[in-house]
Amino acid sequence: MVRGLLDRLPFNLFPRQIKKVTRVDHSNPTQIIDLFSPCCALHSDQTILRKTPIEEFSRKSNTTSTMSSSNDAVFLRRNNQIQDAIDSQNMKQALQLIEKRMKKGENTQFLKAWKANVLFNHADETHKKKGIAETLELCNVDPPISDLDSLDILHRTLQKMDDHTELRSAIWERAAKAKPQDHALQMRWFKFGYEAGDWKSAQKAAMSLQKNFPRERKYYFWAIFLCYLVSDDAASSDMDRKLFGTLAYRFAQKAVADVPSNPTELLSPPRAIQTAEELLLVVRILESQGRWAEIVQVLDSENAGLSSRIVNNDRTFMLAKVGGLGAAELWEEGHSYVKSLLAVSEDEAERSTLHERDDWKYWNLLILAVRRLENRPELLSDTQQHIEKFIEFSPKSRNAHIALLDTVLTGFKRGERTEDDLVVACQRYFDQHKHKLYAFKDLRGVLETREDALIHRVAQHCMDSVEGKPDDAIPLINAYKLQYCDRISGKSNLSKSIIETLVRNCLYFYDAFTLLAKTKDSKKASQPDTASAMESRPTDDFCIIAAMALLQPSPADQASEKVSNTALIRAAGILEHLLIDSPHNYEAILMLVRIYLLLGAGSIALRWFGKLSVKQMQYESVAHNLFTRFATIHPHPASPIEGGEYKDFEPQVAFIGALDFYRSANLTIKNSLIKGLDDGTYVNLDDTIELQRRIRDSICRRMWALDLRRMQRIRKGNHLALHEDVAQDTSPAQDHRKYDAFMNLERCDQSPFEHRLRAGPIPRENWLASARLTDRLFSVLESISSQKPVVLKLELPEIGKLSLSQTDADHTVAEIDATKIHVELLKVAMFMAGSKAHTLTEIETSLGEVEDWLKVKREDLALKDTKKSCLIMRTTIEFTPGTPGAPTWEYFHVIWTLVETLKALWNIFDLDSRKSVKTAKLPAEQMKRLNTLVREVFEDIRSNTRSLKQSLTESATLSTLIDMVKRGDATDEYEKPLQDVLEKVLDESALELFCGELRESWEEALDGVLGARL
Amino acid sequence: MQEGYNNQQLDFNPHRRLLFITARQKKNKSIKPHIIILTLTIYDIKMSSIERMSPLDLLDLNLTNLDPLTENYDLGFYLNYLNKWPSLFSTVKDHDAGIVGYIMGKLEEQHPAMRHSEHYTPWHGHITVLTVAPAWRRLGFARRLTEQLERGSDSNDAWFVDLYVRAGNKVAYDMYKGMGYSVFRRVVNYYSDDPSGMSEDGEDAFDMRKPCSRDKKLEHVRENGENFPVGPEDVM
Repeated sequence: MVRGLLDRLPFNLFPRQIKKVTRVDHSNPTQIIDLFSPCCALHSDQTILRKTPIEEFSRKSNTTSTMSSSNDAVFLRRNNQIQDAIDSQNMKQALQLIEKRMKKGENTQFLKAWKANVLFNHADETHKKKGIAETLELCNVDPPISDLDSLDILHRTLQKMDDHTELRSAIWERAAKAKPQDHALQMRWFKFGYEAGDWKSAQKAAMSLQKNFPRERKYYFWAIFLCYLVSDDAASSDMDRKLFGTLAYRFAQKAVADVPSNPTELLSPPRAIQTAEELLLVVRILESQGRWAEIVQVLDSENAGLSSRIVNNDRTFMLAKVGGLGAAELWEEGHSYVKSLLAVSEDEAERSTLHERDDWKYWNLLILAVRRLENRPELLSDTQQHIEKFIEFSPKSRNAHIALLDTVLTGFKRGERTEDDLVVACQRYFDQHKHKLYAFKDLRGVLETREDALIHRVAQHCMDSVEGKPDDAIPLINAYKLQYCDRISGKSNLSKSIIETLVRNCLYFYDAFTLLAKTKDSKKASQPDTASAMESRPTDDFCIIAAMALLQPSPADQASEKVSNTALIRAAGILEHLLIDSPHNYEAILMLVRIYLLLGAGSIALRWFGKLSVKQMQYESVAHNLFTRFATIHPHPASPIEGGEYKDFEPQVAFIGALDFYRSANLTIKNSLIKGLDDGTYVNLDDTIELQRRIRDSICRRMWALDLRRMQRIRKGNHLALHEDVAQDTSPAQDHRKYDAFMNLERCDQSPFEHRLRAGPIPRENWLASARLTDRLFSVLESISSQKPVVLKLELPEIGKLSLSQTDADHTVAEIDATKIHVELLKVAMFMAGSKAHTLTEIETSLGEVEDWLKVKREDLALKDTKKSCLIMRTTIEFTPGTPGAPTWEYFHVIWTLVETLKALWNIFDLDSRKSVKTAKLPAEQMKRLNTLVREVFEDIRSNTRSLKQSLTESATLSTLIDMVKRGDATDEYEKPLQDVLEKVLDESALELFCGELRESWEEALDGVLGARL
Repeated sequence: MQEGYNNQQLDFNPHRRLLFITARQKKNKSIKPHIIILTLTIYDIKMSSIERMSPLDLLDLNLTNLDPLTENYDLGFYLNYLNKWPSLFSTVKDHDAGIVGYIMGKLEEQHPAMRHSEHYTPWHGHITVLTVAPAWRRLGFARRLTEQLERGSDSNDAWFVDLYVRAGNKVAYDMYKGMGYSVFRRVVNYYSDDPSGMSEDGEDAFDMRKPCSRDKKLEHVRENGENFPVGPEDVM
């Protein structure tokens, strides 16, 4: 846009623009990159063409000093005329304008290249083929084309042509050979290859740069780096991987060898390693080739080793050496090296730096070496003594204590230590670290595969050793976490009394410690500290443990890990209470978001999620906790929140925000990759390239694009064209969703706790495929409606890969059900668009299946006694047995999925009935029956929803919910003691507010369904 | 992104005070295949380690960055630091929990045009973000991360390491004081807001410094720096 405006500046301003371009310092490649990269990043191919004539001209004006500025303006005006024609897709006119200029004698290579590009961009095959032929001819012309703008255009035309990757690089290579001192040309070549991920082309450019500009030492390292990238790229051929791997290795080897041994030697060869980043690149290359021993060798060397000026005490290299020793299985050397690092020296100065080396990677190698050197049994006791000395010096060292624990474990596994030794070691560890929250996880790790009895002994000791002093909150938390692990996790025949005792105790202590803290705070005369108020408190964990203990799979649903709705409501009540005191505890908020989703209270889930202020990279790592299937749980906007942002109540805005992040991240990373080369941070660049892949191919990005479009369809009948490329991307997706922000107290051999709080299985590749299919169905219908050409080659093979006949690992039952029908509807839509892939008889069969399916839906939605349908009975919460009380996520998910299918059918009816749209006609009688059925099913949805809403309004929902939180199931014999604690701990008015909001959220969600239109 | 813009964004960020007392975590599953071999071979028990931040770690900052006191910056901001000052961007990794803390720093000096000013800030290390996940606080990670940055600054010939902290943030002030930092000057109304509600004009910042070995004469230590006021324009 900016460039376009600049081009249209009055003539008298134009020379300034030329000056800006021609003042590029060719000795500074960054300047060139910086100058050109924004326009390449932000403009389409066609807009770039508008820029190139200016540069073409500017160069001419630079070399032909007699050229006047009025001539400049003439060229600009003429180029703009062509570009305007291209912008308005009038290729014929653009071609005529170019040919007119050529006939007048302006027969430059640039115009020829532009003409070939315009020809190629014609819609018809004849012109396109001519464009290809002319482009190829220009690529092979002798002497080769070597002006930047012509090359630019040729490059971009070749980019759009299939199977010309080699040629794309070759035109630059030939040009560089013709003009070896043209720095800008070789930089442009490098940049094109590097930005496009064409490492091989960029490597050739880097080699050319380092050969033709040997005084710039960085080009040598660019060449090494690019060799490594080719060798490490899965897309490279085996031969290339081997060839470039060897090349990278040889270059790296030479760069290390050239480092002078004498650090005072000032004139080191320019290609010798000079910085830590360059040395890290060498380590990375050696790692990628599994040359672990060589890493150790390099880092032990005098010139580039740990004591060298290059390393300059950077601990990263010590860790690299430790990694190398372990991976090379040099256990003797490894043991001896880390033992010396972790030895308590007699020297005071040395002792003072010992804590800097207290790093788990060192300890880990020590322990691993002991385990592997089984032929030296004395090593175990020797190492144990070594660790004891360290502990004596640094009694608080967690790493050393864990290492000690591990030596006992190793001895236990070898039969040299008894179970009692292990229990004693665990007890000792707990006694020393019980005041730290990590103690639970450390012990759980040690006990992970041990027998129940042993775990019980350790857990019991931990509980017994806590005295209940005012500062014993964290020891108690650790003890209760271990108790959960011991008594609750993974137990199939779990007694309610065990659960409720734990819940009761945790709530009791939460209340007691909170009261204690408040008493302390009130005694403080100083002003309250805002930072502390915003911090989560360790005692929060009591409430979270209590909620987790309640959220156990129902005995009847042990396999599916489904938690009862009563437990969900009670846990929500406890967490809401916690968040009054500690409003920023993200573990509690995330758990609460998931609980509200399961309860079908989408608006509250949205609101709580808003409090996490998720943005930037968190759209990739955190957003899935709310966004997964949200489009079919709560696709409509909730009521606005006072002081809240739109994304906190309008799901479409939240999804758009996420997709904006992915789009801008791509540009940001591209710019960073270019800038990083000048900074020479090669290893970080390598990881940035991987980050770029992960973000580009992110499964979340595709899910959000598909579900945003789904929400648009559900709300308006069709989706917008935006994000179609992301939604329809069929390349393999990368899944890097994180679940680490949830507390997990389960045993190591059990599924993590958050598994049981998922609204359906985690969507993966199969889910993407079926969502793409639905998305495609609507796109085809939209294309027919707007009379756009439809790609008739129906790509259905992926449908066959879906295991739709049974509950698939990443689909809900409703999704499988809908996808089966969408396959049939896509066939119908393609038939309407003119596809001959299916005969009319086959289409009649498909429509017949749809008809049968709708009838089944009618049965599922049929209301008995005006209140209950099969769907309602299996997807709602019952406040009293046998009576539907409130909807769950499953109700909304089924309903909205069904609404989407009905909308597709409605679109088909509409297109079939429109006289203005040319479509293959569908059987009239069948369509009439289907039309009636669709109306009936839609009315059934409304009547079911109305019935549920009436139940919510009529029954004493509020009081029932309050009772449910306090008492759980009325029949439970163990409820009374827990009820007493809950009544004491939970504030009555806050509880009423919570229950009231929950009811309002259900009503709002049901209103959303009632607001849906066909 | 322009460096000046970054500074401005940071300096007037209302969350800045909070950055010095918080942090986050993750599991490093994002490493490349050849690194995975190493991980499986070596690291199978739970301890903590201070490591260089990798761009891939940006996907694993949930434990620190979900905390409201830690700002989630634009991706370009992190990548700029990773490109320019990779040795000053370190993480604490717990094998079980992943990244539980990180420090982000840079080396800089005030623009040469300011050299005539008595408030000129010479070549120094700067702590931009220091954060530790809530469950991992008070374990000494902040100190270890800071020491790592101090070593990096020292080896780059910096005069001192500095940071800005809200005058009212006693927790952060005490923590840094315990690590050897002292107030060099008070930047009046540096922050545009004042969460304590004591002032309507904003809140002062303490420019806290710790000298590096280059500063043999301790030129960058000032007694009673709390009483040495300067304006925000003097430190830009």
